[in-house]
Amino acid sequence: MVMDACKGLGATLLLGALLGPGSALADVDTISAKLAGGQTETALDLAEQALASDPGNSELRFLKARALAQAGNTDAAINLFGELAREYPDHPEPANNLAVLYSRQNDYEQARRWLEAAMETHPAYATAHRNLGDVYTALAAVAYSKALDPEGRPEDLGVQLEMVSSFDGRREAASRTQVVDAPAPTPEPARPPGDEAPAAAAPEVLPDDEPDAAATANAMAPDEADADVQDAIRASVQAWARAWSDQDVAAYLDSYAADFRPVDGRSRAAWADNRRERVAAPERIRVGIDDFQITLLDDATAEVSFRQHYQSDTYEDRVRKTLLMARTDDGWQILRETDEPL
Amino acid sequence: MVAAAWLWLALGIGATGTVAAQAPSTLPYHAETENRVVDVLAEWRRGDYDQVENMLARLKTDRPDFRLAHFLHAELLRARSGRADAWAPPVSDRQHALIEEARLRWQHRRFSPPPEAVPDAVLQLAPAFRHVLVADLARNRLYVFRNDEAGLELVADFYASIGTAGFGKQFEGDLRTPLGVYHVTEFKPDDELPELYGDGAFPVNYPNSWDRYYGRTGYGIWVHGVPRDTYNRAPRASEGCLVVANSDLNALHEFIRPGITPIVFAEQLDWLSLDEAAQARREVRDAVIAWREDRDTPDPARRYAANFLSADGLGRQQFVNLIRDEAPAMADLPVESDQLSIYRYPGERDLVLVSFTRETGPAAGSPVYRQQYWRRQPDGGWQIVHETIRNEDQTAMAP
Repeated sequence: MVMDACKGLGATLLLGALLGPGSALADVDTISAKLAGGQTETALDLAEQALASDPGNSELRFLKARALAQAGNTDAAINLFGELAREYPDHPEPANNLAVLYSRQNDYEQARRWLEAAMETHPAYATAHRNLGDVYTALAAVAYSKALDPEGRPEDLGVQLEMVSSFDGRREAASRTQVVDAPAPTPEPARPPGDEAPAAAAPEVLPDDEPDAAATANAMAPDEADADVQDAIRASVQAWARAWSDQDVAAYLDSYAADFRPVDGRSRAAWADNRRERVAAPERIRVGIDDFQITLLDDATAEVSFRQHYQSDTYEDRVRKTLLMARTDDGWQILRETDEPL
Repeated sequence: MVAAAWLWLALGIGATGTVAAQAPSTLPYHAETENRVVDVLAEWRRGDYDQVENMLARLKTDRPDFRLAHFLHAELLRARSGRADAWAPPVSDRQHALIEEARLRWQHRRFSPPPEAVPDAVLQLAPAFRHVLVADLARNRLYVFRNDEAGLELVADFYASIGTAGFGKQFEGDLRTPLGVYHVTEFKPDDELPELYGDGAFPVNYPNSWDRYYGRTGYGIWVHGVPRDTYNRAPRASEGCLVVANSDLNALHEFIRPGITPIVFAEQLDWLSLDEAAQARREVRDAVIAWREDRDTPDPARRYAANFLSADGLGRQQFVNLIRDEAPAMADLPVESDQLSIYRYPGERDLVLVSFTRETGPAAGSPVYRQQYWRRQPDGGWQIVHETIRNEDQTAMAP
C-alpha cells in the first residue's frame, strides 16, 4: 500500500526538480515529448547525443533512464536511476522510479526500501503519508460501523493528525528541528530489524532520542505516556468520588478547578455554597462509579465519562456523568460537570 | 496488492484465474445493487483501487442501507491506511456474515447455468403454471423460471437469506428453512405486517402433506422483504423464512399468482441437459401411465409400496380399495402425460412428486387434484409411497 500512496508523488515532483543550471532545456522538452509519444528509440538517441556534450546533466540522465525503462532495458534503467538516487539523496524522483522498476521485477523489498527513501527526502510528504494513513483508518472505522453496527457509535480511534511545523519541510529536517510540536509524544511502532532507512536518506532521519511522529494515532491501544495520564485522571476522579462519599466537603470542593463553571450559569461561589450544604446534609452518601471512558483532548485537558450511582439516606439516582478535566498545578481538576439520565 | 490478496483469500477465491465468461445470450434479471457490488469486486480483482473507491462511493450514496458496500469500503480504506495488519475491527459474526455474503454474490455471478439446461428440481411443469420459483438454499439464491411451450426458461434470480440454522426444517422453532415443494398461498401487504417484513410477504404452505407424513412441525414459512433500515439481510438470518430485498420482493409480484405458483425449496440446484431431463421425465411418466392402466386390473396394489401411507392415514390395502371403488367413474379419463407436474423432491433420494388434476372424481364430475410421491425401488421400478387426493377448485391445484 505504500506504493499506492506514493503513486502521485513521482509525477508531481519530477518536472523541474532536477533541472541544473545551464541545462539543455530544448533537448529536455524534445526528449520528454518523444517519450510521451512512445518514440522510445528516438528519445534514447537524442538523450545520448545531448549527454555527449553535457554528460553531467541530471535531467538528461533521468530522461535517458526513463527511455531505457520504456525500452524494456530494466537493468540499465535501474543502474542509471540508482546512480542518480545516490548522487541526489534529497530528491525523491529517482528513488520512486527505482521502486517502480523493482516492483516490475517483483522485488517488493527493494521497491519498499526505495519508496521509504523517497518519503524520507520530504518529511512533509512522509507526514502527509502517515496522516493519510490515519485518515484512511478513521474512515474505515466509520464505514465498518455502518456495515457492522449501524445502530452503534463508530469506535473512537482518537485520530490526531500530525502537523508539519515549518514551511520548508526539507530544510527543517536538515536542521534537525523536531518536526512535530507534540504535547504527548507517541513512539512510532518499532520497525522490524533489518528494515532501517537506507543510507541515502540518513541525513533526514531524526535522532533516536527525539521521538518521531509524535502524534501518530495508535489505534491499537493508548501508548504508555497516555496510559500514565489516564491513570492520573482516573485517580483524581476516584478521589473526588471518595471525598463525596466521605462527605469531606473541603476535599470534594478541591476537586474543582478555580475556573470551574457550573453548567446552570450560577457563579462558582453560589454553586460552592449549595454544594457545601448538599454534601454535608445527608446522614450518609455512597457514590459508585464505573464504565470509565477517558478521551484526551490535548495534553492538558481530557473528557471523562462514567456511570455514577448516587445513594444517600434520602435520595438515589443513576446518571452518566461527563467531566471536563484540566491539568493544573494541583493535578487534574474539574472544569465542567454535566449529567445525563441513564 | 495487499488489499486484493486478503479479500480474495477471505472470499475463498484465488487471486489469479479468470472470471467465467457470461454464457447465456439473454441474461436473467439481477438486482441492480447486486450487479454493482459484483462489478466492484471484479474491479477490485483487477486492482484499480481508485476506481473501486469511486464505484463504492456512488453505491453508498445510492444505497446507504447496503451494509456490504460500507464493509467493502472499510476494508479498502483499512488496506490503504497501510496498517491493515495493525488494526482491524473486532472479529464478529456480522463481519463473517458480510464476507460470506460477498462470497455468495461473487460466486453466483461467476457461475451461470449451462446453456439449454433445466433445474433438476423441476422435471416438468403443467402448462397451467406460468412460472415456478426455485430456491437454492445452500447458495442463498432464489430463481424464477418462466414455463411455456419451450419448457422452463430462467428469467430472474435473487440473493435470499435463509434460516439462522440453515435448512431441512423438522420442528417448530428449529430456525431452519424447509426442504420441499410448496406453493405461494397469498400475499400479505406491508400495512398488515410488522416492519420486520418490509414491503410484504408471500406465505407458502409449509407443512405440506409430505411434511406432515414425517411429523414435521412449525408454520409461518414466508418469502418476505426486509426492514427499511437495511438493503438486505445476512445469508443466515431468519427463523426459517426466505428473505429478499424489498425491491426484489416487489419484482416477484410479476411472477407469482397466489394460490397457484409453485415454489421449490431445494438444498442445492443441479442442472440437467435437455436430454437428461427428457429421460428422467419419460421414466416417471411411464410409471404414472402404468399406474393409471393398472387400476382396471385385478391387482392395482402393485404400484403402491408396502409402507404406503395416504394423507388421510390409509395404508396400502385400504387405499387401493378406495381407488378400486372410484375406478369405474374414471374409466374414460386417461392421464395426459403433458399435464403432469414432476418434481425431484428436495432432501430425498430417488423420490419424485407428481401432481395432476383434470380427473373426474367419484363426486359427480368435480375435478380431483392428486399428488403422488413416487420412490424408485432397489429393482429400478417406481412405487407410490404417499398420495393425497383433494376435491378442490382450480386454485388449489398447486403443490
